[in-house]
Amino acid sequence: MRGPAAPRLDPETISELAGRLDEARRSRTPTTRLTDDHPGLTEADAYAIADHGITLRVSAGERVVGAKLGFTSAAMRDAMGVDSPNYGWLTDPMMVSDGQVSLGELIHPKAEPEIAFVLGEDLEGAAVSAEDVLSATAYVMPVFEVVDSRFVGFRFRELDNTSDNSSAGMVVLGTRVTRPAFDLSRVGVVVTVNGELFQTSSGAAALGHPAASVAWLVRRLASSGRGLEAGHLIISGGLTGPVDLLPGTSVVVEIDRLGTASMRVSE
Amino acid sequence: MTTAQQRAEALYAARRNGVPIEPLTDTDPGMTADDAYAVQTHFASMLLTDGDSISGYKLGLTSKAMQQMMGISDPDFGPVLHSMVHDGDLEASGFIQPKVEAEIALVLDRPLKGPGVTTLAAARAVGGAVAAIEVVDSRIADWRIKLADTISDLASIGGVVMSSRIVPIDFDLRLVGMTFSLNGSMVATGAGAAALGNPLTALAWLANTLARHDVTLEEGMFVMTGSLHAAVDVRAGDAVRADFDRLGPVALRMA
Repeated sequence: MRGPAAPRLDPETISELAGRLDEARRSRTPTTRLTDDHPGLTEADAYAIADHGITLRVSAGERVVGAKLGFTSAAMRDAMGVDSPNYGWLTDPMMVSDGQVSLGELIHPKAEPEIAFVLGEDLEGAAVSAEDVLSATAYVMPVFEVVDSRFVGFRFRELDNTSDNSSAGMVVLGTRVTRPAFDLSRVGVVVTVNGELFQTSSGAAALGHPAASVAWLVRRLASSGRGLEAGHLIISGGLTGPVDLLPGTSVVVEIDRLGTASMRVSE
Repeated sequence: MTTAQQRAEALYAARRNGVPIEPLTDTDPGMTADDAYAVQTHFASMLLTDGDSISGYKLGLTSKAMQQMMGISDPDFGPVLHSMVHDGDLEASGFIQPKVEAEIALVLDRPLKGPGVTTLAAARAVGGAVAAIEVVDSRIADWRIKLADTISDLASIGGVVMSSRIVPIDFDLRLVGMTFSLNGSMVATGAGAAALGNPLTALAWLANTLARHDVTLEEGMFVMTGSLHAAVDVRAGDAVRADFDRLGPVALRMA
């Protein structure tokens, strides 16, 4: 694993770029790509910007409740020309428990079905495996991640996306929780949009195994001396292509053995 | 000789010689699905005359994406002959331009005849579900098929490989997950619902459609209910594997 790399940008610039993204989010006005102004932006810069953005949200009273993975599908990595996933942090106001998503709070959201892990124990370390993740997991749940880029036209390069907290928007929680006493890579995933079949997949669509995806995150965090905590909710990566969300759209995911998550979109 | 017979002979020769022909719809753009099933019937009867027999059927164009591409709202079907059913080892030289698709096959414990077959009636006739891989192949050059071309060409059947495990269905087939790999790398995933919403619905559609041709699905036959993902090109030396939740794995090797 890589060691903790230091940001190349100075702290003022990191703070300014994080502020620009935070303003874009709060005003629902997308901004231009950071890599257009800073073509030499490094991965360490990008995570420093994302971390600073989370600090801004915590200062505003939000609480970190978990993390998300991005670029976990081979198709997405190929399309973006990247060779590994990335991650972002989730805060409490992002959690949606009644399935209602209002477009008035977002810029240009899309939804992706995912398997969420809720940890029963702290989890950290550079050698954590998928098996370690499963044994530290209290339960799993189907969810929709609502991704929402703060960049114009939902267009970004890898490190723009990392700086933008991996496009984290909201998490629509499922209706029940399950102990993962079966192979999560094999479960079938069926997404319908307004009652019509949209796409199908299996759990393996997230980095080969959703728990492997979470394990990648734990190892990546270990490189900067961090970890995940008991109670954290980790969403392990999109299992189908994204669903565009328009007013009135109703989206349901059924995951075998895990149940469903549903969302309804309003203005 | 009728036009349908001539077309069937051209397809039969293409299959035998491994040399594809131009699309039938190039010379007859107005060819209908009924015209095409007449060609298919002749094509199949030529193979039966050679001593082959019908072991089952396949559905094609069961996904919305494929139906939209073809401009239709129904799937198509064709017979699967005994000689097309293989254990895991196949010869690439036996095909023209093969692709592979993971599917759920259903095995009939009782005859099933339409019309009026519901999804529940289909479920009652089924002895179990089987993990399967279909090799699709086209006797039409470069896969330049329109609906009438693929129907005429036995719904582009190449061959099938099925697991020997027949699993009684006491779970929701729509939600059976599948992970497809080529030479050890995952290339696609899917779930049973990709086949017309439910593989049992696909079976009921077939039984009802065959009834219009006065054909009964016989006890012991199998039905390939449709691909769970976009077809994947395959060539000599490739190893293909589909891992189904609840049904287990099925693999084929192309020599």
